[in-house]
Amino acid sequence: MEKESLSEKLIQCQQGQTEAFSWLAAEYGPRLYRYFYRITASQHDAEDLLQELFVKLIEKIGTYRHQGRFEHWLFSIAANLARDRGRRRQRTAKIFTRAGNFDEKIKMTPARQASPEENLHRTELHARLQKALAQLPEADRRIILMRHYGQLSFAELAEHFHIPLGTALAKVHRGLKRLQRIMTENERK
Amino acid sequence: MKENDKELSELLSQLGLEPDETCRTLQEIRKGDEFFDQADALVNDTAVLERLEQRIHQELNHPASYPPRWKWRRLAVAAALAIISLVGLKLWFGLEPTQPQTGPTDQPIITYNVEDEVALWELALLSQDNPEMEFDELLMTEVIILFDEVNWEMENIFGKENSNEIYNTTAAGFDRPGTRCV
Repeated sequence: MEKESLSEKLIQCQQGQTEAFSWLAAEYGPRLYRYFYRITASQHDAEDLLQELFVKLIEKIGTYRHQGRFEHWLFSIAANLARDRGRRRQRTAKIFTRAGNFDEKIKMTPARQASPEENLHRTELHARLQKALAQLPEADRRIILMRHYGQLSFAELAEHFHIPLGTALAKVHRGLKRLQRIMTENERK
Repeated sequence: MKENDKELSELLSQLGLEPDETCRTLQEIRKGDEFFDQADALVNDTAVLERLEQRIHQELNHPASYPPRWKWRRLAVAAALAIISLVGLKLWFGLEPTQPQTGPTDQPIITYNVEDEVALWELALLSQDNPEMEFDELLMTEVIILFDEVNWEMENIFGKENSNEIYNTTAAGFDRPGTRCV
């Protein structure tokens, strides 16, 4: 994404232009939705949080000063919303412990034209990833999801989670390895 | 924004990893990232985004659109605060004396001058017994009686330590709102 276009869109958002918010929704909506979905494991909660996030964005965009860290800012709000929702309902842990009985299938379509076999493979992979994520310790899961969906650098992750840079790197590294191992083990079963 | 390979490699070097270890860690992180990308290479149901867009339109066209119940709650809280304030003000001013030269506003001066000798409750009783006398007059009478008993000797009235201090006190020191004592 062009940095200039994002800056322009953010200025337009601050002026209350609907088209600019629609642009942000199209640009970040899918990623945010998947982030929420991975966190809550609920399609309904993910959509609810996504809408809540954009309402908050409309309220707060006036206070945002763009210094090239919009994604970090956006995903920080998203993470806080997801955490608050989890605390409020005290459901998150329960959801992830019953990941094996994952009955809610997210409605998704392939990003590009693909063969039916490829689609099936991707859908299976998608489900396996969700199951493996559910088996990760929560701290590892949160930092991996934030890196992947928020596209945050390790320095930004360290700042977001209030941990040293080396710890952020080690956590992501260890988490990704653990995730792959879990998926491999699940495949063998 | 995620680091590119060069930035990530530099970062790993800064953390004191050996070159081999740096290279291996870099590859593992990249592999993990790619794996995640591949496993998650799906886009959302378009209906989700459509509903999101509708919500955005709704929010922008109706700013601060609190649910109706919140509006009522906010109004109720504001009304309750207003009533409490009014009742508080009413009580406060209702307790204030209507005549400035009588009542509790004179008490500090009385206490200052005759605090050891004439108790306030005595004055209050006297005031009840002599309703025709003004409070000033009553107080002055009591002070004169008191001073007369000690033959108007300052040392006897204020004590040895305080007598000089009293002589040095300027008129302004006594010239406070309320009863004039000098």
